[in-house]
Amino acid sequence: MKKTDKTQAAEKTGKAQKTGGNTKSCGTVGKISVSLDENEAWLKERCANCADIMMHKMYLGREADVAALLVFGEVTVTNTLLEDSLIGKMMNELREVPSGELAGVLDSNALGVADTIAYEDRELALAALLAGNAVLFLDGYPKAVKIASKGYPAMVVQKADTEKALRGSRESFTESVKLNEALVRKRIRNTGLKVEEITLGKRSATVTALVYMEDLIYPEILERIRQEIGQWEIDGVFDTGMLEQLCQKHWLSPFPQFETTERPDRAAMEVLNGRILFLCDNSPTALVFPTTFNDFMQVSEDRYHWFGMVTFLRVLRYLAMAAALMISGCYLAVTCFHTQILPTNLLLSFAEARKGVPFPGIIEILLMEMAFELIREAGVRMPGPLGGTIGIVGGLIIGDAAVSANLVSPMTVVVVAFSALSSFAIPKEEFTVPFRLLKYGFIFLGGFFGIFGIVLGIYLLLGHLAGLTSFGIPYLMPFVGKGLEDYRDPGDDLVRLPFHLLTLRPVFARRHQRVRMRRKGEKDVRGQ
Amino acid sequence: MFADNDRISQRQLLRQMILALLGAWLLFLAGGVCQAGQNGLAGMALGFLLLAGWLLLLIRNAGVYENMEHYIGKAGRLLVIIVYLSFLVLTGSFLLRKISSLCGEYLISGISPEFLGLLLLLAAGAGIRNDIQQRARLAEIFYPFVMAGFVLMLILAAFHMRAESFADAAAFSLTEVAREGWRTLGAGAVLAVLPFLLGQVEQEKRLKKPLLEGLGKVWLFLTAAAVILIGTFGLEGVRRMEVPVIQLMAGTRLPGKFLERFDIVWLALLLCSILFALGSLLFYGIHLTGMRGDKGRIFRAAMGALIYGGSVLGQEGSRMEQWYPLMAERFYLPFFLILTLALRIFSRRTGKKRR
Repeated sequence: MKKTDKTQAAEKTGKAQKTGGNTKSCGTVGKISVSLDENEAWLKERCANCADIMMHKMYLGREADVAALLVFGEVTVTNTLLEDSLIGKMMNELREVPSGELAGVLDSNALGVADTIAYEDRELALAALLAGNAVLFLDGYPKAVKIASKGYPAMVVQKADTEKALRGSRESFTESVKLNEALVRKRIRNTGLKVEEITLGKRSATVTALVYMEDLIYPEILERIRQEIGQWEIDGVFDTGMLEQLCQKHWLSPFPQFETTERPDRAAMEVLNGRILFLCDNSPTALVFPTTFNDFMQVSEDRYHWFGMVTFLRVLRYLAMAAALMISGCYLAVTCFHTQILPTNLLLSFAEARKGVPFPGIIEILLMEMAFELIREAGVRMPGPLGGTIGIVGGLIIGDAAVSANLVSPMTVVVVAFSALSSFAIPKEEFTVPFRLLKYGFIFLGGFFGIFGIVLGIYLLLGHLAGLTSFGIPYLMPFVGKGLEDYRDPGDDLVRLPFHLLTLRPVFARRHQRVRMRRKGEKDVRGQ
Repeated sequence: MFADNDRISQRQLLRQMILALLGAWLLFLAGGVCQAGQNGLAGMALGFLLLAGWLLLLIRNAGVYENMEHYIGKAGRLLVIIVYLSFLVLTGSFLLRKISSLCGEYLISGISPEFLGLLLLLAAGAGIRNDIQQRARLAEIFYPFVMAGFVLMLILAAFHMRAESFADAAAFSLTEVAREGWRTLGAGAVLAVLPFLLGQVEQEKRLKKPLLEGLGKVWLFLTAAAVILIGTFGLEGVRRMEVPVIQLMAGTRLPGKFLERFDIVWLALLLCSILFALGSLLFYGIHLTGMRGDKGRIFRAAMGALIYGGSVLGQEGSRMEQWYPLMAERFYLPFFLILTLALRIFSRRTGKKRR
């Protein structure tokens, strides 16, 4: 994976690499000594009580008179050292080189080993070691050579688990940031795709990466995320979720301002839309930003299917979202305050169903909602297929038992089940959170103030969303802002246009880079 | 970056204008106009024509309004701001008083209108805050729902019209037409705040089209509502009603009869529009004074308290619904018209001197 010029240059020269967050250096900056003993003593001091870090002393050169020290993490370097591995072969080659030429051979990488870097700085060498590489120190040679090996254990590319799709790639991001970068590069084989690595975490030294198309993004957004990250000093970063929370401008809002994906195809698609990808080592979830409300209602395969069906499904998702948020509140509003809305037969059946229930409607709804939340939480935490079983059995048994015991009316069970089902139709799990929480607000508003309360709730909610931005992009785009700064609707929101008309990029792309597709030799079919 | 400049689009301006005016005018203006029969309709048309003319002058003067101190001095500007603020507070109190009592009567019984008014004001203020773009986006999101709802309501209501309802038409009277025209102008006095916003609209040199389009749409809507009201209830019927639009809503149902009554939904849409109007009044109050940050928040709270106080006092027998329109027609409207003309003259003189 290509790094930015700056990063590459820093690595080539072995100089301290400046990073956006905390730097790779963990203590005093010091040069590597020409004396192996000094280097060894320093390493032993730094790695005291680190049983997993191995130090192998050996003698290299044809005359076997140059002392060398190979340092590596126990599991990170392959065990078949001498025969099959790169390190083994390299060591064997170095044993054939005349002792006086060893330094020159290593300096000029005369053995032609692809992934080696010579560091002059001790801390950088140590960081390379802790990143899962082997590091070779040579007596009389003031540098340490990083030799890549298999690295830390990680999961291989697997099927996407949380973003299932019927059509399209099955691949999912892994827990290795390098592998994830490669999965994106595999889909965008263009040098315009930049990968900017930043090491975060004072103690964890976690590698994170910003991936973007240089000519499509707004540079201000990139600068803003660098600043956001750079202002924090944190001991460890273990998932993109931590980065997300650190960088959220409107941190009190329940609405996520970063989209997440575990699908490389979706990630690549979004990079081509002018968005930035944020990857983090040890996390199979990538952050995508800036983001809008509409992005959370789309799935990766929306691009792969016929536009009519996609539009239908999107409308369905939006309706489901509204239902997840408001149906319980509206039910309370209608049954407690505005019974005149209902036809007489329906009203009578509602009254019949509630006969014998001792609680007021709002308590009934709250009881059932809480029961469903409990079932959901239990189902998520239960291992394997037991989780699904708990959900179904719990729902059926609790619902039935609650109705039989006259704790709730059957209609309440139907309403709450419908509300829960609707929340599952929202494609992104993180986006269900605000609706699951705000639903209770609507239950109180509807239960205490009827439709009046519901209207106030909608007005406040839309007001909040209207004020929300993600890295300067209004959260409600593309529903708002048409005509602003020549912005034209790409036709990919509630209604998705036929694929050949999806010629424009969304608002995330630079103003003059908005044409995504055109017929060869023609202007954009929509007139750009 | 995209729209990071505190500016709004012409489309957003148009939608804000319609959304802020439509609910309140539909409730109070259309009802009043239709009680005067064809004289009311003619008067409203005349009033809208005059409003369009005034609007054109306001657009021309937008820059002058923003730089008022240069033409009328610091004291003059302060006086103008005070008059504007008092107008906004009174308009807010009137609107709040009317809508809270309507909500108490038709939407939710058993809760005092004062408490409902307080909730309405809090929601209106919190929904818009001091952000010009937030207000614009909110209008853009609400607009299609509110408009679609109102258009559907009018279409459904049109089927209830009877030809004989138009038979008892009032005799044509020029005085009546003029009176209704002036009444319409009085209701349109709120447009006086527009020039303070126009500087923040994209392509500010070409604002005639969206603003006249907005005014035209509102006029069409109100005229349609007034005609349907007369056609449904007859002139005598309309005159007996306090708020005829509410009665129209109560009688309008969706085909299929899957719901017994649908008036709650129309009222909810009306409430959305009026919440936006109330929030806009608070927004303009802060916008006029140019206060930002904490000062802006404190001022907004103070203005909200004044509006609420006014609405509560209005409810305790001071008959605000009668004297507010009189104040608007006899004091504020003439003041705003004179100010527009005066600023126009001052700016032309200054322009000539410079040349």
